[in-house]
Amino acid sequence: MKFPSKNVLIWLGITLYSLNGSAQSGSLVPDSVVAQDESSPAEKKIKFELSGYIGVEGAKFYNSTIVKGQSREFASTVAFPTLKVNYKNNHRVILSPFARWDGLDKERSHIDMREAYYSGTFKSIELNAGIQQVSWGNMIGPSVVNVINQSDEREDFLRSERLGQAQANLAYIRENFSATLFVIPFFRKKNFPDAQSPLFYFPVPIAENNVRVDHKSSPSIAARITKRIESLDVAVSHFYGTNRMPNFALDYHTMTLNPHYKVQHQSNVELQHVFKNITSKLELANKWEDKSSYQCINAGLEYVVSNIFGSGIENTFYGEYLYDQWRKEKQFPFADAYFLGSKLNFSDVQSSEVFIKFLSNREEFTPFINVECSRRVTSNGKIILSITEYLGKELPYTSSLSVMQYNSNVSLTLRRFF
Amino acid sequence: MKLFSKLLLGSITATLCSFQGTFAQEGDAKALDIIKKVDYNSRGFGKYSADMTMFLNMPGGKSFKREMKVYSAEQPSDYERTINIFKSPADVKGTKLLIHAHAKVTDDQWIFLPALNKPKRISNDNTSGSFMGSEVAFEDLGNAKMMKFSHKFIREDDLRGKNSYVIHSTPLSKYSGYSYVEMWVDKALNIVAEIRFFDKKKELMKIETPELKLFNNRTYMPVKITYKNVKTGKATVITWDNYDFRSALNSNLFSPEKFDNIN
Repeated sequence: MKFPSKNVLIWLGITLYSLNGSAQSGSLVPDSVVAQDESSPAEKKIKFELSGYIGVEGAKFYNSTIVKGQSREFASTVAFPTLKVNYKNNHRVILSPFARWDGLDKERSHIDMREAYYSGTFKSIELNAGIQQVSWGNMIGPSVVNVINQSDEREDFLRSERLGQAQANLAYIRENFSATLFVIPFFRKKNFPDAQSPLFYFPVPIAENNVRVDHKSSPSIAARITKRIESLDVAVSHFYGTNRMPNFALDYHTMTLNPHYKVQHQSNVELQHVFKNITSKLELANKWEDKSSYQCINAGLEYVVSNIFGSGIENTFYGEYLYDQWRKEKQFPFADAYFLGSKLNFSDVQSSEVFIKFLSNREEFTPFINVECSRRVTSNGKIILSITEYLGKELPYTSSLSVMQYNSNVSLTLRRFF
Repeated sequence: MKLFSKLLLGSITATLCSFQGTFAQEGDAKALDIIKKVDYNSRGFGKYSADMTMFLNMPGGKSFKREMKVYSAEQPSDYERTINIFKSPADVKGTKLLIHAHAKVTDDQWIFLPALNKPKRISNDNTSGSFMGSEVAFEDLGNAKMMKFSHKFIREDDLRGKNSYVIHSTPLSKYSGYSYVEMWVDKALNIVAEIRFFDKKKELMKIETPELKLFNNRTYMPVKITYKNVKTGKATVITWDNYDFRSALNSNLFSPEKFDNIN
């Protein structure tokens, strides 16, 4: 095992030093309440808010690998600050860069402007312009309707991190109703981790210098309408532009995969209903590409059990099913898959949580389990322990999960929030 | 495709055949008359913003601080809409909770988590859970909570030298964390002086002691509330500062499509 890089140790030192115990105090409660001023001054017109975190992450992959020379460790530092400038709640500027430096996996180190945009509200009209994060759908696991932002392949696939996407969107928003038009001028291709990275799950390298992008010089456009009818949320949307997922063609001479991003139409319907402690979710999508049509469905339930035995402990159960005909025909993993989850919230002052996730293909039982335990430490720190394990039988080389089956790992994350 | 058909049918059935739980104010005439006056005295503020600080006090003497900004707006034909914006601890900074309180149906709730970057609707019967690890349950929040109990007048009593009515209130929802509560109402001012909460085993669980102040010669608002858990020895103290009734908050910001825009 290589020793973590110098910069990791420096950041670890800074982070640990920053985790001070300022929350602990014996007598923070005021003895009496100062009389309230009924005519207190009006709120500030311009507000600045800085939030986010810096952190260190380390992971150990404990299986032997089938990819020769593949790294078996991560050791990285992460910074993810967000600055919001808000003028009278009508005009906002949001800046949110993300940066990761990995001492052991060079390709995983990257900086991405996740958000840098202006948002203005003019009565019922809202205009957002710049680099944004737009998220559609209600699923906890993989979603078929979340198509605006490109996924960040250099992050753990279970976390579904998304890259920032330049766009302008104009929304008409009323009580219980919204209609939004999106214009997305630039396309962002996927940035894959290095073939020596444990996050790289393809059996052969990807020819990143041989990428074809259709419709590159034209903007993608999308529209979405949402309507709330008491406990039922409905959304209808359509996307036209370059598909965020590439088709792969195997080059038999170089034995590499050549990505080809094609033009796609995609229509979506989303339904979500809350009834007592149950949330029902349904997402339907139809994709058109190369004159072929592909049907997709996401269906899921969430069930909350709160205040278990009067202890305050709460558990949320998740069950979701995904079928994506496009992904299935292109031989991507988890195209016909189910996701199960159980999130235990201890409702204590440290906000301790245990989140167990289970993901498997339906036809071929390929159980991946992830257990993530998190807890606040002092007033501004958080520690996260995560274990991911493949529990199924050994898969053949032809399986889309042939590489991922050897990526069982344990990781430890320490974050300092501000 | 048989599996799809079953899933599709199941989801649509679950979605369309559901309906919201409904409540109606119940109880004897005297209790309802007192509750009506208490309700009147806690309303009429129009809208306000305030800084809310919560101290979670442990039996050993440790205390943990939580800070929030609160915006609230009364609705013409319903109870208030409230936005809680978490300021500390730092890992929940920027989290926002929107509550549409209702008298006759369960409240609607949405949470905005910065990590998700979109509002998420949360199941609306999840009201007995702890609010931020405190001794306060979600069902203890807001002015509409009294409409979700059946009330019965018990007796008059002396509470810390003040004449009070004592009302026995039973939750209408089976999801409540309480079997019943006993409420002391100040007879002279018609405001709540103390509430004793009894758990599902009908044992005294916690005592709420509010300190209210009259604002704008119309509404009694809390400036401090103490929740003392008699079983664990833990206590939560909430204070409200900097009440601002002139805050020009646009009422359409109190919707799930908009509330993430407020800082």
